[in-house]
This record gives sequence, C-alpha cells and structure tokens, in this order.
Amino acid sequence: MQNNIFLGLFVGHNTVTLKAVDSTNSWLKQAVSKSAPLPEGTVIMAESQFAGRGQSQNTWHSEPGKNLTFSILLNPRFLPIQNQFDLNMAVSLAVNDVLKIYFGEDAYIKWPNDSYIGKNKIGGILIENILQGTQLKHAIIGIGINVNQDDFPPEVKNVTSFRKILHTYYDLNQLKNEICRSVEARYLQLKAGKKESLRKDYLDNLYLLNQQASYIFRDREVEGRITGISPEGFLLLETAEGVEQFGLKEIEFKRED
Amino acid sequence: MDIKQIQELIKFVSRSGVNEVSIEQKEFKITIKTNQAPTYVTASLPPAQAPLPVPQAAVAAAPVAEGKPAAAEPAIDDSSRYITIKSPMIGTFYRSASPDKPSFVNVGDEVKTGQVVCIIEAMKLFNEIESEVSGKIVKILVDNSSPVEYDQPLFLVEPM
Repeated sequence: MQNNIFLGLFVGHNTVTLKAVDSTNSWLKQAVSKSAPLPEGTVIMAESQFAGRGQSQNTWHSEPGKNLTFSILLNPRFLPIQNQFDLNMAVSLAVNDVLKIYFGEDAYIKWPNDSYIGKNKIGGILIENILQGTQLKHAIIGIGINVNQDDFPPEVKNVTSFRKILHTYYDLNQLKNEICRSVEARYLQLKAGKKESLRKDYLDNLYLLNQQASYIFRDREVEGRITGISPEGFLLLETAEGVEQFGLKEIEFKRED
Repeated sequence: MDIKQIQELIKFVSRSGVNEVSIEQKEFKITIKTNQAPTYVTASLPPAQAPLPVPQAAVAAAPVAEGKPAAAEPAIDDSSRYITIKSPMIGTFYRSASPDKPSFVNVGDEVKTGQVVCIIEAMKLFNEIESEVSGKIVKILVDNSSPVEYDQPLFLVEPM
C-alpha cells in the first residue's frame, strides 16, 4: 500500500490495527504464543487502548484516538540476555531520533527509557521479552507517545504532548511509520554489533547527564550528577560520597516544578 | 497471504474477542469484523487446571524457609529427583503479570514445557520465563517481588 513507501525493510510491513484493545503488548504476546508464527516486525496498533501499561502498575493516561500506542514484535535471538539493556538503548534512541526531528535538542531519553521534551514526559516504552531457558525468543516493544491530547488530569504532572508544544495536530499513522523505520534502523545497528556507537548515542541524549540535580534514594534527598550507565543498565551517579550505581527502584529523580 | 493464513487469522480474531481487525501488507488489505458475539463452541477445551491429586498438599504444607531461599534446598530429602528452574538473570522475581492477576503457577500445579512460570524484571525490561521441563511444581523458592541473582533456584519441579 501507499503507506509502505515510508517504511523500511520489515518493521511495520505487517500492521494490525485494532479498534480497541486492553493493551497492544498483551495482545501481541498472546498472538505470539497461540497462533501461527507472526513475522518479525509485525506491528499492532490500537486506536484506543483502555488498559495501557506503564512501568508495573502505572497506567497510561490516554484519550481514545488521540495518542500513539502500538507494539512491535522483534525476535532478537542474537542478543545474549545479559545484554538486553542494549535493546532498551536501541529502542529508546529510535524514538528519540524521531522526536528530535520535531523538537530538536529538547528531546531527551530519561533513564532508562522514557521520552522527555525539556523537563516533561512525552512518551514511554515497555519492553516485554519471552525467554526460553537462557535464550531470548521474542521481544515485544510497546511504545506510547502523547500526540494530539491537550488536556491531562491535573494529578499527572510533568506531562506533555506534540499538541501541547507545537499547537497543531499530527497524523498518528505517519508518526507511527517514522518510528517503525527508526526502530528498524537502530535494531539493525544492534544486530550488526555496533554496541559502542549505540551506547555513545544513548549517553549523548541522556536527560541530565553530567548535570547537578536532586535525587531521592534511601529516603533522603541528595545532590548528584549522572556520569553514565553500567553495561547492565544501572545508573551511575556521582555524589559527595563518590560514584554509586542504582537499579530502577533504588532511586528517584526529584521532580522540578 | 493464502487462504489457509486467512482462515487462521479469522479463527484467531474470533478467539481474541476484538471487534475489528484490519491488516495491510504490500499489495494486500484485509478487514475482519465480528459483529455478533462469537458463536464458536468451546466444548472440547478442558479447563486449564486439571484436577490434581490431593496428597500433593502435604508437600505444599512443608515449612518454607523464608529469606534464604537457596539454602532451603537441602531441607528436601528427595531433592535429587526434582529439577530446579533457575533464574537466567539478575532482576526482580514476579509470580504474576501484574498485581491484580493470578499467579502463573502455584505449588501442586502441573506445568508443561514452554509454559510461563514467572517474570523477571530488570531495568524495566520484563522477561517471561518459560519452563523447560514438564512436571509438577513442588516448591516455590522465592517470594513475589523479591530480587534474584543469576542462576538462583526459583522453582522445584517434579518431572513427569
């Protein structure tokens, strides 16, 4: 179809659009386990997602039809599971690459994989892997981007959208195709073993890298500076007490109003 | 897409409970709508939980060593005939897909090769761990949402 001229080699060539679904990731996961094999790069897009998930219980606040919510099936069997943070870097970068087209240098990746414009979150990624023994079989890449939603519940802070910043409507399908093409490019980079350049690009676009900021860990607020990311994806933070590494639940970014 | 794939797809769509699916490929477009409630027959599908032999409860009641799961192993007399499902990675162990969902498996459940038994989350990457053996879950060695190390035993399975 005409849309495919915007696509690359395989991501998005097989696209399933659902009117309404609880979560595109869950749908894809079920499809992978139950039916005939789906081609790598299959995309499930939801016009309306009523139980989209963020990190564990955080639900995604999405008005029907206004935002982009879709999932991509990848089969990264080549990736040792201890290196799966590399996949996270590739996908985060892919989304960031597209956001930079629209927002320039204001687009950042907030560790580990949120998409930020300035100090506000515009999107998030949820990656779910299916393992067999110690082998990665499938990776289901869920991507959510706030696009045409203008109003957000007041209790949701630090959130933004394309519309809030650029004051115009964007075509969801076109944006989806741009992101698919970008995911494919970064995924092929990962597959080709170009880890170091992925890592460099990830750090170059990392929110608050090398800047003083406030963090909360072990129940106290501490000034620190992100110096990098460990190979496993831990955040490296330099404080008055030296450089320490943190897992996802061990540290919080203090919100600036 | 050939006829067989289309049939597969229709079957799949009707099972999934969605109302409408459209698929676009290079020179091909298909839309499948299910306007009415699906009328397929579920007669031949046995319930997921097969009836379990009752004596298994005795094993379940055995005291579970809290806190030091790895050390619990020697406490089981006959552990040699059990197979251990180990964590393939460092992360956080979850017994269900989300807090409001039931556990993937419980003590006494039969699992098949390829069945999801838990999730290990690391840096926001959620890994569904499939069983590599068929058997009965004899013991769950780690508490829900606790950290696990590489190679840490998670489940004891009695092969069958």
